[in-house]
Amino acid sequence: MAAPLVLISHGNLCVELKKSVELIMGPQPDIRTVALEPKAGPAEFLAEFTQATEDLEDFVVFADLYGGTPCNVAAKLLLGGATFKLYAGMNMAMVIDYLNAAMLGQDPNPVSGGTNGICDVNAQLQQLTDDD
Amino acid sequence: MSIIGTRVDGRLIHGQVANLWVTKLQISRIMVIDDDVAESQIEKSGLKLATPAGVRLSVLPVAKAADHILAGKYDSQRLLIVVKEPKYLVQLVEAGVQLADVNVGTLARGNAQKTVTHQISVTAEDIADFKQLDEKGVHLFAQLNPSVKAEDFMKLLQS
Repeated sequence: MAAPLVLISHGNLCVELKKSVELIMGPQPDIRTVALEPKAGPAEFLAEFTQATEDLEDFVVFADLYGGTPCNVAAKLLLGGATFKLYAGMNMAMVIDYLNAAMLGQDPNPVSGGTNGICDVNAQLQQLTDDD
Repeated sequence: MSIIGTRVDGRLIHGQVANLWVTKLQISRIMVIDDDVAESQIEKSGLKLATPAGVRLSVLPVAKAADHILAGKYDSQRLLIVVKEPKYLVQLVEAGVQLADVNVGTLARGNAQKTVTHQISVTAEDIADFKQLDEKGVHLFAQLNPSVKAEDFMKLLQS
């Protein structure tokens, strides 16, 4: 059983990303989200993050942006001794790859899962080959 | 026989098919069977773009698809057949290809006779085709993704 995911972001990106992923992967009751509200600061975000994860022994966090407040708050927890895994630069491919790895019982690799989803589509179009 | 899954999907290859079912069923080749799409270079290129890395793709008219499958061309591969319309599956079965079960995913018809679920509406021809598949012993089910229960499609069609 893969560790549950916690998505964190500036504003509702995490909430909506979860919904978008559910369009493809079906309901994901185990994915949690913590959004940094426009008027909230690190202290409020820390409180919400702690509350959202306090009943979890092991979990994996995807943050929207390296260096942004949600990621920084989570990183500080790691510096303070927390042991969850934290990845920044989350995207739809990263979340889907994580869920697929869990489904197949494989170890997820969110960095490759996320970056593999980024490509120059025009260049791909040039490389199409036939194979029936 | 190397047919791991068969899906009716009006959108052919899209998020659910490419990211979810291909992974879940560990598919090595997607085969789109459609006489019109197989004639269109643009549609074929679009399908290639939508096919996940590492998965191969065939886009074939139904007669050629049946020939290839019956000749054992894909026996060492894990095949996912995808069609927009059930009529191609009827033709495939009539040509001698054995289909154990078919997942009816999404099918949105402009001239629908009946709405079966949120994602599925069918024409009178579709209904006749599904009945024929059922009579030929093909198990038809509807399951959008593995986390929801598979439903008996013929029961949905009759309700």
